[in-house]
Amino acid sequence: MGGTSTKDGVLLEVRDLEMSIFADGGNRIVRAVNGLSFTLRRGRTMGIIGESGSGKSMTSLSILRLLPRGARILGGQVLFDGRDLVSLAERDLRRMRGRHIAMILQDPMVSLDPLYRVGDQVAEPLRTHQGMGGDALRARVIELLGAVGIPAPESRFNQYPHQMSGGMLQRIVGAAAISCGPELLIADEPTTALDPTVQAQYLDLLEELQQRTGLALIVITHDLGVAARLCDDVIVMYAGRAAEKAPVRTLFERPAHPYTQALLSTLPGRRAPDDIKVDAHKRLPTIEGQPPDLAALPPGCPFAPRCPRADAKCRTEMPPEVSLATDHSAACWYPTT
Amino acid sequence: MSTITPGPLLAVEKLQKHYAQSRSMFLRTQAGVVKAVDGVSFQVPVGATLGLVGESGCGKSTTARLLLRLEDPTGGRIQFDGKDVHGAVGPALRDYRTNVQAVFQDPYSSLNPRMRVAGIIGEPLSANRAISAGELRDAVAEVMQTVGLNPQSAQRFPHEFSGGQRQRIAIARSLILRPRLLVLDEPVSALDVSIRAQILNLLMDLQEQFGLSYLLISHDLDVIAEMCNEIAVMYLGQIAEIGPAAEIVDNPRHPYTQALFSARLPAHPDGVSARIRLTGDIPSPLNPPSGCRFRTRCPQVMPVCAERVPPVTHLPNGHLASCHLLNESVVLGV
Repeated sequence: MGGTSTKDGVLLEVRDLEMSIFADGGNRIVRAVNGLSFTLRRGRTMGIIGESGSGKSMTSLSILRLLPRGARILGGQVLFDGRDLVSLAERDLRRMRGRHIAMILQDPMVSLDPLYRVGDQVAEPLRTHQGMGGDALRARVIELLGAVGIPAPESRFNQYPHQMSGGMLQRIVGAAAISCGPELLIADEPTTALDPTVQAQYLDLLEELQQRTGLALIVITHDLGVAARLCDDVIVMYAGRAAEKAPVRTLFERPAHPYTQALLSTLPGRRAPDDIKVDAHKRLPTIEGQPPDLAALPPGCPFAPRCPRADAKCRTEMPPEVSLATDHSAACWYPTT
Repeated sequence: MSTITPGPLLAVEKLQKHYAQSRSMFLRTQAGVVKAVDGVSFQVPVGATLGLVGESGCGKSTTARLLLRLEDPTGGRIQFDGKDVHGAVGPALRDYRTNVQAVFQDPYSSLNPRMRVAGIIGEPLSANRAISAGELRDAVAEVMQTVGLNPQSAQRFPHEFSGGQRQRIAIARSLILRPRLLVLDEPVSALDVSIRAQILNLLMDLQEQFGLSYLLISHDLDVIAEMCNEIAVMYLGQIAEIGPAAEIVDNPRHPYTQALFSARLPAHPDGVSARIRLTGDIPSPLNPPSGCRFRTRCPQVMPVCAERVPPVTHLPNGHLASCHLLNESVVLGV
């Protein structure tokens, strides 16, 4: 691909994506993604932020159509370089995965097989997608290992995952992800607790991969700090919808949706140092209540039950996406402007 | 609850936990010693929170297990309210177990799914004291109210509650014996951001209301900075630096603390600062580096670091750090 790039460098365009999971033999319909649209340009980094159940991971899995059991895409399009991945035949889609769109998980041991040498695991996509083999393949893998910052790549080729450190394994997975020169990399970060140093190494790696190859990046995370650190644009998801979309700076400086505002204020430990010294035990602002049950969504705005700004209209009518500025929009009847 | 206690509620002195490692699965020959906790000292005053931070494998959870008497130390001692914890037997031990309770990370695995909430919360009380069913019911209802749960849901099962509510159940269970110290092991890491603040606020309210002391273990530095009066930074079984929270967060003196806190995520896109990158992983506690344990990853390592164990340097404001850089005669080569 690559050669026939679409206008304005748009790489990925998701339009009105809808995805539901049919559980209990179809009796329970979990509405995971409810009409999501966004555009990603080449070489840019998009952060998709949300709590568990917000649909952020389901969005990333829908793009690659790696759907969990019982999940179906009910509507919308995922246009990658102008081709709709939703309607693409499975065998054509398989040629896309790993080659044009790669995925990377934060925990390398989820992706690596402990029984295979790391070199062979990095080689696999090259063998599958580009038919490489023999000495050329080995040379290319060693080059990739060197490119992601693994010292002495020749000797590392033959090692097994248990012989390497966690940070090194992250880099192995990174080498496999970029092996076929993908235009898009999707990085999914789990919500589980991680050492800050390990997380920082992972974010460094993503940044390096992007700088080296110019690929576009989608980072799935629950942490606004990750967006501040890495992203150009951010989508804040709530109950399978985009609550707010904005360039990262706008999101932090002029958040329009009450959910985004609340999220920004509840981050612990991010207050001014003076504030902490004055009163170490000042209470944190909270968002009362729970995220809604995706199998029983309220009729109006899904955030209304927890929203300080909500009125009768919010509880009965779904707010449309309101454009506030270039690239900045919020799905709210009363956005801050 | 607020008895007058001279000195700290909890005093840990040169605590040590070494595990003997056998050479093979079958031959019980001793091959080495894993120094999981190696000479750790700190104190927790009444009503205060001490945070324990460090990367995985630094020994913070082993320290907690020792405090909870789930394991016996191989050296040093723990004193609670002036009494030796590991010498306690019979009523004294029962007393200690009543006074020190724990809340763990994952409220999905720490609560028995087949017990009703009333049973989960009431179990420590019914196991420790002979009380009537009515008294137990009242005590459970009261503590549920205290942590913000509706007492009418006492007959429900854990799966009917959300993650945040489950953590409230775990906190209620830990409180029902009216303890004085809670060991909080990653109490909010499994929760969503919007729920995290609710639980942290609850913990702060309870501390104020009951004069509780907390030992808070977390690798979330934001939570630590928010909650703690004092912070101890652990590395390979030892405390690298300890002091008042504001000192550790704003004025860290040990290169490891500086590197650790520089890995914090920014609060704003403009706040992205230069990170001190550490190379490699924590060395094995089976064979820790000579001299300073951090020297193999330290960006400011000097020849002396391999030769001598850095002494503890006393800095202003009760701030202690163990690093040769803080020792002028060494730095200037005197």
